[in-house]
Amino acid sequence: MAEKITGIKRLEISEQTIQERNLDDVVKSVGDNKEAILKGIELLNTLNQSGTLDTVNAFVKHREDALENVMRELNKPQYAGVLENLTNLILLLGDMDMAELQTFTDRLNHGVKEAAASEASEKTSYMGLIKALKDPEINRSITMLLQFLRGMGKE
Amino acid sequence: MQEQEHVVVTINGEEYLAAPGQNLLDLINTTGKFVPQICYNESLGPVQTCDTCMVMVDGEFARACGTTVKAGMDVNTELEIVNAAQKEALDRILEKHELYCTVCDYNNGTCEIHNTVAEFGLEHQSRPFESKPYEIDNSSPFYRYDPDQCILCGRCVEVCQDVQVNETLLIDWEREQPRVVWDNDVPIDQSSCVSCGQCVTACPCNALMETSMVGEAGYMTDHEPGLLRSMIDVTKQAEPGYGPLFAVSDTEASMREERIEKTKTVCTYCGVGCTFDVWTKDRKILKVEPQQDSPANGISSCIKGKFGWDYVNSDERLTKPLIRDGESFVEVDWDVALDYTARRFSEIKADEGADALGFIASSKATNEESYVMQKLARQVIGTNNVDNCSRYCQSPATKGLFRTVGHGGDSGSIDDIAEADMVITIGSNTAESHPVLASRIKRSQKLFGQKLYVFDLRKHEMGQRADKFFQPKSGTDLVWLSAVTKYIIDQGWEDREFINQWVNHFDDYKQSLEKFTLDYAEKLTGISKEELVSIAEQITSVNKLAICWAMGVTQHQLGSDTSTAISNLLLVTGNYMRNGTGAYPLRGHNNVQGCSDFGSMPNFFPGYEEVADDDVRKRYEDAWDVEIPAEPGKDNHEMIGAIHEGDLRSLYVLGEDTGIVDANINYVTAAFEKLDFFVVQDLFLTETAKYADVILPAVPSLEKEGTFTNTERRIQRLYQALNPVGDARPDWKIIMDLAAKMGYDWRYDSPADIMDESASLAPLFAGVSYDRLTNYNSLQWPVAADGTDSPLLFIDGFPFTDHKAKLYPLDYELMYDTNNEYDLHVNNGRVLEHFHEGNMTYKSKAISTKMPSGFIEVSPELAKERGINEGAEVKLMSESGEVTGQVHITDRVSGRELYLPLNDNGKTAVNYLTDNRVDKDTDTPAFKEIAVKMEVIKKKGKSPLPPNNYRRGNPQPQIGVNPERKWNRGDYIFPGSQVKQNG
Repeated sequence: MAEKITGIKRLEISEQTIQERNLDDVVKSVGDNKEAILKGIELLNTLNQSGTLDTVNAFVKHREDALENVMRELNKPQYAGVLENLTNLILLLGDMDMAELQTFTDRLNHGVKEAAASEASEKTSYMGLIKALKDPEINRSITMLLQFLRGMGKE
Repeated sequence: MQEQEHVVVTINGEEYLAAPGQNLLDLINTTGKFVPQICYNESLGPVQTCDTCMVMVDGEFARACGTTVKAGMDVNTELEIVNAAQKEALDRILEKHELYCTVCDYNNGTCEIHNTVAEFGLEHQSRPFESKPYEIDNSSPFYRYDPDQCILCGRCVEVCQDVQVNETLLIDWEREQPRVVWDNDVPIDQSSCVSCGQCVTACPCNALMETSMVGEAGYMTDHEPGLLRSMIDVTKQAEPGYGPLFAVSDTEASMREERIEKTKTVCTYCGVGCTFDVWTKDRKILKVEPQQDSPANGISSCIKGKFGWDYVNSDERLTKPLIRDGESFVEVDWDVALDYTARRFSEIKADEGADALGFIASSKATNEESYVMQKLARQVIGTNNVDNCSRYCQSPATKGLFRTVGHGGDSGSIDDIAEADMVITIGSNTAESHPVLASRIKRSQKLFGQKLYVFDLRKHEMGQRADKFFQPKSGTDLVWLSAVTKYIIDQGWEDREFINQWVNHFDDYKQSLEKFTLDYAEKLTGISKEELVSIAEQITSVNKLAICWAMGVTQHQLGSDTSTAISNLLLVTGNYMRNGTGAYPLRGHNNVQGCSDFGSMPNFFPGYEEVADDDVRKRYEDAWDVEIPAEPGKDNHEMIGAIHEGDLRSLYVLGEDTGIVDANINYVTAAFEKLDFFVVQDLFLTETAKYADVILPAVPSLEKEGTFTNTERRIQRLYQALNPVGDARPDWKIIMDLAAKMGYDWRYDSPADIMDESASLAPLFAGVSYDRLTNYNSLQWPVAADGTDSPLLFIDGFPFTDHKAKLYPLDYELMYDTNNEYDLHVNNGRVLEHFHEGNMTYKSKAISTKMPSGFIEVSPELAKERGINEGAEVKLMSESGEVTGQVHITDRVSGRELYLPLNDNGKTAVNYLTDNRVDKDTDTPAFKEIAVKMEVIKKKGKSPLPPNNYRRGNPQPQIGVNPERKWNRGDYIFPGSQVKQNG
């Protein structure tokens, strides 16, 4: 003769038992992942010694504030150019022909070296300039510069 | 196979074979060539709004999706100018949709805008995004609409108008800034939206999104709106080209896979058997996503399947076994509970015999769980006293089909119902009880000229949509069915050839029809003779007829006979053995078909093999190494009676709130009180569980593996999405553990092992195995050993010795009516929003805000007569009991007809009114035959139907999204023309 009832007496599990069970789970997991845990501890130790751990901890706790600050700052007009340039710069790098550029910079470096070695006090006369064109090295440079100017001026 | 005609189409200089009438975009997609397409979706067909699939056809620009292939057609998808037109269309979309993918909750790898722009290789936005002057509509508790992200592709409109056919969404193309509107431009929550969620599933981007996804799916989306806005702006500044933007957002999208699990499961809310991926993050259910490959439903869903899963995480879940101890239940460990149960079962068996124990399996649990429940009863206990809740609903339909055609299931698939020239529904509130299946009928009727005839007491949605709607007097369907059949035979309109070749007993049957004259039928049913003739004419004028029926037929004293009459009519008119024809008893619960299929029935082993058959029984006796009684056991109804008589002493009920859902619950719960030992296995402390001695905590579908069988006889696998809560266990495991305590060590590692055993014993499932059911694969029984299944039954004849079906003679006697004292008839059934007794769906806060309680539908005439208004409180009294509830006045009911949703377990629970009358052949309670009197308690009050219920909305039917109205706008230029003009 069972009548309708609704009460439930919960199985009281003591705080201590719950603690023990949780600990058991953790111990098991530690046992299963010994190597990773040890490496993790080492990593934590390094981070701690360098003071990074405190910084990271504080940052994560305040991540929403941090994000908001950063976003507010980044959204200011003066950064619009930076952000855009940043990407444009990457795109620019993509467009450049690095092999050609390298030859060009090699030559530029030679020039810089020569220039540094020369006596800057010596003046070059008009005739000297014409004569200098006969020097194959100078002539090659001038020709190259003229080509460069022609290429740059192309529509 | 017939030789098919083909047309040759040239694409980019290469020749391809196409099917005549094939959509050009469809064809292009089979060639591996890429053409952008955002509004196109295979499940929806061409919508023609996004303009991105621009191609050159015979030298002119055209939308590929709006073009049908023709012989000799010359198509180009690669010309520079074609590319420019496609880019123009994409640019227009990006003016409407801001790409901030990394901080978008929809960035899960499936955003079709993201993917199309990436695949097209569009690097830069030519024109800036322009915000639209509309706020986000957050009014619905289920999903939200962000007009600012909406690209107006209209897929949502298409799916609402022509797939779900609820006709709520449309695009107002004429306003300055077009947008999607609900009804006549009201907030979502105030509209006729049924919250089926299909618009959300169809949306290609984040414009329509499940509320449960917002701020949950992404790693960086859960921020205050202001902060999120800043992040969107920075994202856009830092990622001005789409390449870098996609690199970052694609990385973030794949990171999401780390914490979001997508698990295929099968819905538990009706017999349609919708399948979908459920997205979970820890225990949070982020969303439910039906798939194009979902066999029964495609991309469709309903409010319960899409949004009704909160119960899984309810605080009220039972987490530990409970044992009755005086005035309360006490939580115990599994060993204690199972030892106690095993001991009590053994004691009762020893004292009173095995037949003093009864077992009730669940139509909500899996096939495997039905199998082990009957195995527990038959092998471990040694009784055939095992049954399931199909006894409350579907047994009469099965009976009617066994008598005539030999298989107790739907003749074909849902596709066949959609394909029929004519569909008749009888006693089925299809749009609310089987919403996704109803949509298929609604679509075929709306778009493809299918004729829909609806027979019901109540003018529900299907009744309103029907080409013809009939209200036969309650319990008289057998009469009009037989009269129409007789008239057809009298006119010589029967399918003579079919009958000669495939049907027995025609002459006996014809003779039995003698009394069913048109006059007789008119008198009993109230349908006029002219109408009966017109029904006969319509039926015989079509080539393919499918008849669907449900509880309005079966839950009567003549439920089996009426089901038989339906099958007789189909046989006489030759409407079996072909696609688009047949008998479709719409199974109510997710596994009402499978629970019976897998043997939890007092007279059948799995696969409907008779317990009384010596050969069959020997097969199981050998496999299980026990003797099994040859006598069939008691069904549910007989078990309750036997408790009252003192013959049944112990009952084990799995996943069924019998004390609410059985008829005449005062009588049923009085029986529970008399039991010596009562075990209930459930998720919650149900009304039934409150009478138990032991309550075993089980898990819902999302926390276990197994299979369900839907109304199409389709076996589908569900995978485990979540871990069980607390100490709760899957039903199959609990039963296995209990069997072990009683000395039977079954050792199933998983439900797959149970299915293997079942398949090895039941020929109907010979080829069923988990390997053949992976993911979205399914099998429709009978399944041959080689895995061949049967989407359409009876292709080679009927499963009788001579392969012929049988016409089954019937008689009729009116057994129920109202009288002077009990002058009102109470009808009952489902509502869209809730399931069964409401134990699951009322746990959803969102669903409950749409429908907070049960109610009593009263016709305007009756309300006037009794002087009551909306919200009145009334008491209904039958000979068995009484209920009180609040009145909703509606013309869905007429005259002295009342309607009570069955989904209430409080004082409005309809089964306080029902009595012990049953179908004479199957003992299914005659739930639908209740006469009551009404007492008014309060003349008016607050309406039980909240203002935001969909029934109060104003649907706006139209076909599709009307792209012509977009093209007619003054500011619209066809992208092809635009690029030509630009040179």
